[in-house]
Amino acid sequence: MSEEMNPPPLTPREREVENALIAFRPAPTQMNRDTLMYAAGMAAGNRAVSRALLPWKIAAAFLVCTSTALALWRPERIAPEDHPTVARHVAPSTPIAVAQPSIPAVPIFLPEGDSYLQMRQRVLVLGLNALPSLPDSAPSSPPSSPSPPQHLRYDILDAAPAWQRRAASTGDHS
Amino acid sequence: MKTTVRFRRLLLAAAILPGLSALAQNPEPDKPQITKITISPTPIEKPALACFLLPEPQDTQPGNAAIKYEMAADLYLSYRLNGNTDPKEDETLDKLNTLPLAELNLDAARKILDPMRMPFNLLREGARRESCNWELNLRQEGFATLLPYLSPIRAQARRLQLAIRVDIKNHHWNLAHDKLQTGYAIARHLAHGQTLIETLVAAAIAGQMNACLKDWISEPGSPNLFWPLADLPQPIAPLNPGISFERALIYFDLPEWKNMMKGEGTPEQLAGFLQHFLRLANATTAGFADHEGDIFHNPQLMATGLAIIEYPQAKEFLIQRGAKPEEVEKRPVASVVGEFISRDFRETSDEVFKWMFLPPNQAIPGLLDTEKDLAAIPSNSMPNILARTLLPALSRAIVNTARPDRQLAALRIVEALRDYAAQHHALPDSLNQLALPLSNDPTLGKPFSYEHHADTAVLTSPAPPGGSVARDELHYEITLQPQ
Repeated sequence: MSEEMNPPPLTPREREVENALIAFRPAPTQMNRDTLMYAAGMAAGNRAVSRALLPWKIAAAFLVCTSTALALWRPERIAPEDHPTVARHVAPSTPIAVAQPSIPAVPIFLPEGDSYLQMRQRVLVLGLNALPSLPDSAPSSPPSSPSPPQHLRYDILDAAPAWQRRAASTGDHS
Repeated sequence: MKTTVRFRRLLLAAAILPGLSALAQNPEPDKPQITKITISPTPIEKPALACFLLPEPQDTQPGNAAIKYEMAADLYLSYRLNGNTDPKEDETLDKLNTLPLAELNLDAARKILDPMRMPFNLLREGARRESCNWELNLRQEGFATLLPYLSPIRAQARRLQLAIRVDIKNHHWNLAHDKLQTGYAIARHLAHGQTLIETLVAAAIAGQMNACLKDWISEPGSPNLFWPLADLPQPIAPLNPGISFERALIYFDLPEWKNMMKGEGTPEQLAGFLQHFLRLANATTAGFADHEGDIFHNPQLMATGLAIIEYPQAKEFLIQRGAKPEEVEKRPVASVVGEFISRDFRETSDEVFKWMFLPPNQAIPGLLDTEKDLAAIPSNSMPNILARTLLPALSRAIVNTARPDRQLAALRIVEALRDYAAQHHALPDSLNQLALPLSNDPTLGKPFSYEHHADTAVLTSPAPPGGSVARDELHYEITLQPQ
């Protein structure tokens, strides 16, 4: 505190810098305040600026229309069953248990990754389609053996993974 | 100018929000899916178990099925990676498996099934092994365990379903029966695994085989499967093996847990537990735990913070459960907080898992209540955060694993109707007219509802509590094929 109130005296070198800084004078301004305000007003009323806003207005209008349409349109969901379904409901004679929301509103925690905990959370919320997907071949790669394998040995040598091919080529069939 | 900007933002928000909300609502139709089955009169023949739906002991061998399943998966994946499969094959497969059998395109099916000959042979061999042990290292890996075999086996089971449909369409009953045995055996092997996910996949595969049975029953000339269906084990995909390990996973994953439970936790163990837990819940902390020097990289500091926050609540918890206040005061803070966290979590966890060993009709309502309570607990203490992060929503798991059992029970009734029709040339007016032993809907523990109007019988059972009508209500419309 006392250092702030009574700073230590400047060194001769610092005194030189201080004197040099004192010698500086601000350059006279080129800008007139009234001219500046006039230019700003002109820019605001310029048609080019108005035109620049036009795409935003169109985009917003388009989004309003699309969203309204989406809000009104409820797509029919395709039933994942083995047979075609019809919408008629025959009331069962026994009392029907009232269907409630399947899971109470617990905050959903759906972590990425393939560890057990992560996979379990995803599978319980999203179903088995949340299991890791299988790798596919590159689209450019042509089929390497279009005809189906006919013999066990042919199959293993041609289509089996590397460890099996190695075992076959070295005669190790254990 | 400010007003213009605000107006523009408001306009954009007004434009986007209704669309998002419409998509988020994603309404689910509340009508049941109606399965139509046309049956032809078919009496039960002897031997009654000629078409037993699981491999019988005389057809099985000692050995570990998992090895064969792994080999099948390797072969299948190598075909897939070598470009032998159409990139859109999965889409085509879905269509072929859901089309009515009469519309099934055999050429399209053959394209998918030809490369599957060897994987199917290996699956068949595996299904006829006495045991299946994937040798998971759950005790070491805990929640980080990987289950890489599940996706390939599921993908192959879907192809097996198509192969069975082709055999049924061609009236190759022996081939279809052999593949059905393979499918059900795979489901049983998976269901006796160590995890809940394996049981869920097992139930899905059993459901695919059940879908094949609907095709089988609908096809004229197919042998009557009443007794093979009656003698399938129930539940076909039991939850108990997986659930036992689910309960134990926290002990496997957090080595400090046992000591904390006993009230012997040290500050280092509390810090170790926190570090483990943050690793588990990494997705929730990923956004702010990346910076070096952050508090999340200093478990000791975090443990101190946690102890300060939880200590008053921890003391109260232990005193409420019989500990003497003066003894609690004398104990180290880390041991009090550690015991509180582990015992409180254990209490919540047992409230969920205690229902899992009961039949579905008792377990589902109890679990739904528990899950509501769980959803209501605030995330204001470490045990509550643990419960929310680590405890699965098991009511849905029960509904999903019980679904194939109710389908099997319903299909058994349909087979009894085929037998009745063979004797009386008509469908009965009531299930009481059937002499064969029938079972209740195992999901609800109640009889199925049956009505006979004109030439159609309707067999139904409502959705279980917590289920949706569209997904979980069973509704079969059965008509008798004109002779």
